[in-house]
Amino acid sequence: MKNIFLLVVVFISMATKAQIMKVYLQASGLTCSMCSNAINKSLKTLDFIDKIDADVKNYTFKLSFKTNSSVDFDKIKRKVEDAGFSVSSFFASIYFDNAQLKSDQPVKIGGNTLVFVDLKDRALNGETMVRLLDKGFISSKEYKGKNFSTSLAGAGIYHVAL
Amino acid sequence: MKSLFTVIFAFLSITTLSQELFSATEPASNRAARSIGVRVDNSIMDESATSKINYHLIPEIMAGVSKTFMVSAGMFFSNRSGVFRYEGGTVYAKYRFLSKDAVQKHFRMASFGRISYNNSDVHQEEINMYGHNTGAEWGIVATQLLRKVAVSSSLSVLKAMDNGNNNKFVYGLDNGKAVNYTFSIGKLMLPKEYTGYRQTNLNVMLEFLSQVNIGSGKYYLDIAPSVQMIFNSQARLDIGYRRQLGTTLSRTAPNGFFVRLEYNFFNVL
Repeated sequence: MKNIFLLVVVFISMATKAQIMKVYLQASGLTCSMCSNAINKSLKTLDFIDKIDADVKNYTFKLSFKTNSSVDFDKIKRKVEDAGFSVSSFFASIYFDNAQLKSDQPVKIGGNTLVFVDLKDRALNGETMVRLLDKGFISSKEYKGKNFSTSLAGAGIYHVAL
Repeated sequence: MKSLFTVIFAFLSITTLSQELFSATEPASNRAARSIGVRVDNSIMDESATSKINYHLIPEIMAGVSKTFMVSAGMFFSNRSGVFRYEGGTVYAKYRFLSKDAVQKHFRMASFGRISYNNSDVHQEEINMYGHNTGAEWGIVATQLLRKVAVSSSLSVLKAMDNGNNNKFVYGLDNGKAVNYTFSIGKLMLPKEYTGYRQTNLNVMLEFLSQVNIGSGKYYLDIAPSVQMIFNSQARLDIGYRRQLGTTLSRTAPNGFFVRLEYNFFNVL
């Protein structure tokens, strides 16, 4: 009975009060501005995106989202790949409302489930940057050697670090 | 020949950003998925044996089917026969099978194929599927983009057949097979630093194109320098000159200028 009670508490606490404010991504495989424009136009077709600030010089894109929209990280990554390129770094700026975080414990934010790796148990309050570590969200060079537990893997599940 | 190598090394040693949308060849990179491009290719070639200028017009439409696969279709028009007329068409496809991306660089490989139909007379030993011969071509291209340089190379096999309108491939079908080799270098000259999409880009390319006929063993080697402007990160203008460096194949008009206009529509399919 005590175990079931604990499980319910853990479940409730996992639906965290948090909101994805912005995404900052860097694209790789390109040098020219027409390539960057192809990525820019590809990202613009996502219905949950409100504004894109493209830095042509540094190949970075700052994405702002429509209020109360469901931000899908996989869709963002696929739009960069559809344009013909890859994501080399992907940061999400998330607003946490006193969220209790533990290492390797899945946290639901919007339609995405985040698993924080290498984290000291803590409470997060305010806007925090998290970096996605999964394949396709970091450069292949950086991804080599990463080993995430397979029980915490699947569509919509992302491994992140602060 | 020595001055040629000097030019190549000069190109490679200048350290700035680079571009890989080549003029005379296609790179291993592909089109953005769901994009359409419209191209108008103009060649103004000098007929070696006469004072005639051969003008070839090839309008083309290209489509990015997915991030790895593109197709295009074009039509041939030319005044080489004495009258400016329709001479045939071509379809082309390219599949990118390898892509290793890093910040400001990539290595890519693609396989491409072309099928062409031409109804004009077969007038030279050179086999050219882009406005002269009926037949097929299949090849592989590899492109390396580094922060400073874009280098591309391709290898393809061509098989010419009889042209339309009862125009036979007069050199015998044994001499209807050839291998093409190309080597291209490209460099972004302007802008020195990117501030936005509206800046006009200026690229310079140097390409080498060669063919060896499998039946006769005869060859040609051409050089094709070109400049390219990209407007509003959406439209492209290439102006180049192609010149024969050496040949043992008979060729009617190997030297001349080419001007290509291209406009891209993104996310329209």
